[in-house]
Amino acid sequence: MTDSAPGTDDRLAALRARFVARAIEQRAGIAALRDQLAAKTAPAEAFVELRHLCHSLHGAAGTFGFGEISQAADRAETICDEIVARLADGKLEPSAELDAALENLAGLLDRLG
Amino acid sequence: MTRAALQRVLYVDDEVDIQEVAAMAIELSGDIKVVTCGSGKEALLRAIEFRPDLILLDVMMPEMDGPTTLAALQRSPDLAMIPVVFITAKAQPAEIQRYRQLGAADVIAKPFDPMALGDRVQSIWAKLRD
Repeated sequence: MTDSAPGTDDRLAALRARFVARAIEQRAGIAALRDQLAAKTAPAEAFVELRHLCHSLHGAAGTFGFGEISQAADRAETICDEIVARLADGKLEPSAELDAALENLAGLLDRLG
Repeated sequence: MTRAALQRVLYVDDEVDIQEVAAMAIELSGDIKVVTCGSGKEALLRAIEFRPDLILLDVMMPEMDGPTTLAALQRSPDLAMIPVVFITAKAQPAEIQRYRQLGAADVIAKPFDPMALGDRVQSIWAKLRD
């Protein structure tokens, strides 16, 4: 494993703090999209946008030490992938599975502050 | 082809936080200069200017995704010989196989451990040198 240079810990801490701030914003985005899904007013693009948010969290959270968030985002992203694939067939259906995954993810993001 | 020590890496990712942590991690592993950019389009321009030894390329980016960017690099006579490693959260075995078939030299899964990324990149480079 690579040895740390002086200042590395501080740099990592600063980047981690920036990630947390961004994740809190993304949590708000996920909540808004989740509300649209619940109200059945979500356009097809909402699933694509939601998938992007989940993908971003999946890829970044673990890097900054938030493995649980990464795994939860991975689960939500996977469900979004399945829904987006069905969109190609013109089918847009609400998903209790997605809602549960998003609730789990939102709960973990809530702990960030 | 015999390659020298890794000296220049171009890191392409639409997420600035990941760019910065990756650059820091890779530079820690040796005397390496890392240049980052946020899109496939910018990567094509930066690669011409910077002449990296290696390109680390995110897959899911808006407008021009990783595979599209790789194809564009491969079409460029000046850039086609630069090895490209995908770095992505989409790293299931079938996806990895597809990336290799597209011409990627290797794939690094996200999320990555920042304190291990430098060694991983050096290991990939060592295999490319052999």
